[in-house]
Amino acid sequence: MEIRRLIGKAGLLAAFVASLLWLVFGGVASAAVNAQSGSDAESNLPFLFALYTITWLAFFAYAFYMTRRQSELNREIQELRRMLEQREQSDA
Amino acid sequence: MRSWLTGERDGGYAVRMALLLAAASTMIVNLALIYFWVPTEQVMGVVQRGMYFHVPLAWVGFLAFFIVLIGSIAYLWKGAEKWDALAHSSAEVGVLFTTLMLVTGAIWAKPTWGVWWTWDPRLTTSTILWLMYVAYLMLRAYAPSPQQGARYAAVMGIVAFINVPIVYYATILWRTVHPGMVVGPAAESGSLDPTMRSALLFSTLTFTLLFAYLVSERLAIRRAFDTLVSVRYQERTA
Repeated sequence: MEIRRLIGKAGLLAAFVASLLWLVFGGVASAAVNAQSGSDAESNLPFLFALYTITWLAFFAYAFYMTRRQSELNREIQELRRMLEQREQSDA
Repeated sequence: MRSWLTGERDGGYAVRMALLLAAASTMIVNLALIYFWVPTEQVMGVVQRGMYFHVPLAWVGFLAFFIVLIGSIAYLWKGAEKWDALAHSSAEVGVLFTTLMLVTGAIWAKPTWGVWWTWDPRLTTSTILWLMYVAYLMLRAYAPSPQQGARYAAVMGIVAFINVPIVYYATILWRTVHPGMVVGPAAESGSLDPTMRSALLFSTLTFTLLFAYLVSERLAIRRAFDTLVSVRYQERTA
C-alpha cells in the first residue's frame, strides 16, 4: 500500500517535471520560430533559456534544501523522544 | 494528516500540499501563456519573454519584505514568537526572489543594453535592498542569543523596508536606462499590450502562490526547530 502511494506521488512529480521540460524546450523553440521575422531574435535565445533554467534550478535547490532540513529535524526529534521514553521506562 | 516525507503528524501539511499543487498547476498554465499566447516583442525579440519571470520576481520580493515589515512590527508590539517566525521565513524567501530578480535582470540586460550590469539607479537601489535583507539574515544568524537576534532583526526589518518604495520610484526620481513601471500605482496606462499585461498579472499570481508555498514550508521548519529545542531541553532536564 505504502509503495503504491509512493509510486503514485513519484508519477505525479515526474508528470509535472515532464510538463515543465516540454514547455521550456518546446516553448523556447516555438518562441524562436515566431520571432524569425524580428531582428536577430534567435541570437537572444540562449539568454532566455539561461534565465528560465537558472530560476528553476534555484527554486528546486531551495525546495530540496528545505525538505532535507525538515526531515533531518524530524528524525532528530524522533530519536530524542525515543531516548526520553526509554529513560522513563528504565526509571519506572 | 501525515507527512509523506517524514510520516509525522503535521497540521499544516494539507495546506502546504494544496499551495504546492496550486503553484505547480498555475505554473504550467503560466509557461504555456508565456510561450504560446503572448506576442513576441518587436525590438528585443524572444528575450523580452524574460519579463514574465523578472517582474513577478521583483513584485513578490516586495511583497515578502512587506510581510517582514508587518511581522516585525507585530513582534515588537506583541512579543509573540509566531510573528518573528513569519518575518524570518518571509525574509529568507524574499532574499531568494530578490536574488533571482537581480540575476534574471542581468541576463536580460546583456542582449538588450550590451552589458551584464550598469550602476543605474534602479539596479543600484535594488542591490542595496538585497544587501539590507542579507544583512537582516546575518544579524539573526550571528546574534548572541535567538531572542536578541529576533529583536535586532525586527528593527532591521522595519528600517530596511524604507528602501522598497525608493526602488519602485527610482525610474521616476532619477534618470535611468531601466524601463518605466508597467504595473502598480505609478504605471502609465497603455504602457503594455493588453495580452502581455494579462500574462504578466497571471505570472505574478503564480509566483505569489509559489512564494506562499515556500514560506509555509519555511514556517514548518521553524516549528520543527522549536520542537527540537524544547525536546532537547526535556532530555537535559530529565
